Amino acid sequence: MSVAPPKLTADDIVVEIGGRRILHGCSLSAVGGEFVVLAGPNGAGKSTLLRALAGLLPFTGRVTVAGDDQAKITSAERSRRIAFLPQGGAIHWPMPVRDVVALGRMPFAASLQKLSPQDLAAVDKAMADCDIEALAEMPATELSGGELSRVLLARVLATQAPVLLLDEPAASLDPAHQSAVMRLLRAIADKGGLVIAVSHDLAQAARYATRIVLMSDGAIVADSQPPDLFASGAIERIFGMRFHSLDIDGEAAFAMTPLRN
Amino acid sequence: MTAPAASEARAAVRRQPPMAVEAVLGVVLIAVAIVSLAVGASGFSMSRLWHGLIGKDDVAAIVLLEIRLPRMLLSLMVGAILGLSGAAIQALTRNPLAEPAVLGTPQAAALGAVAVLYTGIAAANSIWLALTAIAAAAAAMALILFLIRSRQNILTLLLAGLGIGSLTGAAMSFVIGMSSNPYAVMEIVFWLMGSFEDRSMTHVAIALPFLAVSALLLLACRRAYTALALGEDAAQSLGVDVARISFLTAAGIAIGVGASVAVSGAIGFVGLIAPHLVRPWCNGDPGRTLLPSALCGALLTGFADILVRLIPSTGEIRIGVVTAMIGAPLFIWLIVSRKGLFGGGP
Repeated sequence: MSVAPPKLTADDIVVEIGGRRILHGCSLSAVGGEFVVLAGPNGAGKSTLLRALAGLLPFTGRVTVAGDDQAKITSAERSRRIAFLPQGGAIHWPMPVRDVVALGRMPFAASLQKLSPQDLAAVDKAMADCDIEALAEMPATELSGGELSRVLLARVLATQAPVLLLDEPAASLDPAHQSAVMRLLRAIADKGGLVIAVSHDLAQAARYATRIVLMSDGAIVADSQPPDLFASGAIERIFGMRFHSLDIDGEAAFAMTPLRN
Repeated sequence: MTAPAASEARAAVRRQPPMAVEAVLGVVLIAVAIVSLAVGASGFSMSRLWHGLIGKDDVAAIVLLEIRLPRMLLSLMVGAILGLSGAAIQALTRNPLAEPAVLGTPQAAALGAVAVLYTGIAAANSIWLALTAIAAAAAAMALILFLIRSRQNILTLLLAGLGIGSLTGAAMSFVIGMSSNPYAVMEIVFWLMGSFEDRSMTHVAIALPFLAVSALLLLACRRAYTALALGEDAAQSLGVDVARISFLTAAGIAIGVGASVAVSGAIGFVGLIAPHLVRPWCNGDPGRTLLPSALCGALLTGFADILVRLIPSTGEIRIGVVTAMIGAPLFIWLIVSRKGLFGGGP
């Protein structure tokens, strides 16, 4: 991990694309130890906010990472502090999976051909964490959608950046791997990392996230710990769904059902 | 994670030791260079050429050093820059069908050259022709960069290049159609098909600095090209300045291809095919493909330039025709035979 303590703040972020206002002044602050799930209907601005936080699109407002203005640090420094997983990522050439994961070490390694023992250890750990060791020498273009998702997540984890910004890291995964990824992200947060992930799976978020930020129409409409959020009725208002907390064999489980008319 | 791993057996990537493909291509390239020097219209024997080389035969020396050497050097230099440009534009756009023609660069360079030929300002072998072609290529590239200034992404770059290419193609047809002199039309059409015939060391001297700058610009991007395999957003988040890399690539290709077209006319398919031929020996890494692709491009062009001298015909067959006749079937064969070449899951 980098020496910079994980902290990310966003202050009044406004994004306009092609004259249309996508984000109307979003503010957010998160620190190491938090696993924040960014939820909301399609088109709410979740991915746009995440990309603004990562410094990938022009915006007005201010984002700081570890106390520094994100716009004022070099792109090299930013790449060491923030790792970003784009939504529905793809790999365009038949590179071996291991080489794809090793790209995560680019912000640190002088040469991707000659990685240091520390770089190699980070790559190995990320591959083990994402259960893709068996795929190491496969061409990344021949993987299934779920396998590729895990490979691209491992690429992000290999960076070992203190801040992880992930756009739907568990989409297209089977249920077992979905839970495994959410558990892994929570474990990263528990060890002091800061994870902000876009997800549509509120049941998983209820179980693993420390905090849920709910967006609608380009604005943040709720921001609280999962139990408070579900008690507030925001889910019903935004999604028209009811949220149930169940007790199954002494363990909490969650489910959502459509509201009856 | 604890979920079960995928169990089906799939072919692993065959990893190659570093510089292995470069070494093999380099050796073959030397052989092609020697054969290129040994083949020509004068039909001199190897022993006579050898005597020319060691100064015992003045006629053979002139043939070797003033006719065949510049021709060999130009064919390899131009081929190398075409292969390198193809690998670079494919890496930047993450599109295995991309080649410099996608940016309209060779078309613009050819338009500049044709305009000069048509107006009779310069003859086909003059320096002015070369400089005009380079200037036209650079102008086209500057126009593209101007067009994409507000939206610096790769799709816009491709579309702008497509527009420029179509426009220059149409303009060239217009110029050719307007020509009242059928002789000039013949000259233009032949020149457009590309040739290394009757080139001198002056041509080498004109092209070399531009080709060297072009190669340096493109090779400087190799690490970024590897990161771009993940897409623009991911590459940007890894510290790659995608706008800067797009600019460097565009500039490198404009300079290199502009100079190439100027001294040899338009030679197609080398930029498209060379990266595909070497990619399996580069672990699929687009950055690592650059140098082998340059060597492969030199090899293909050098080989094609030998063929045009060996195929019996009244005039010399144009090299652009040969590269297309070799390149197109090879390309089709690659498409149908190599699974996964164009991405996509199982």
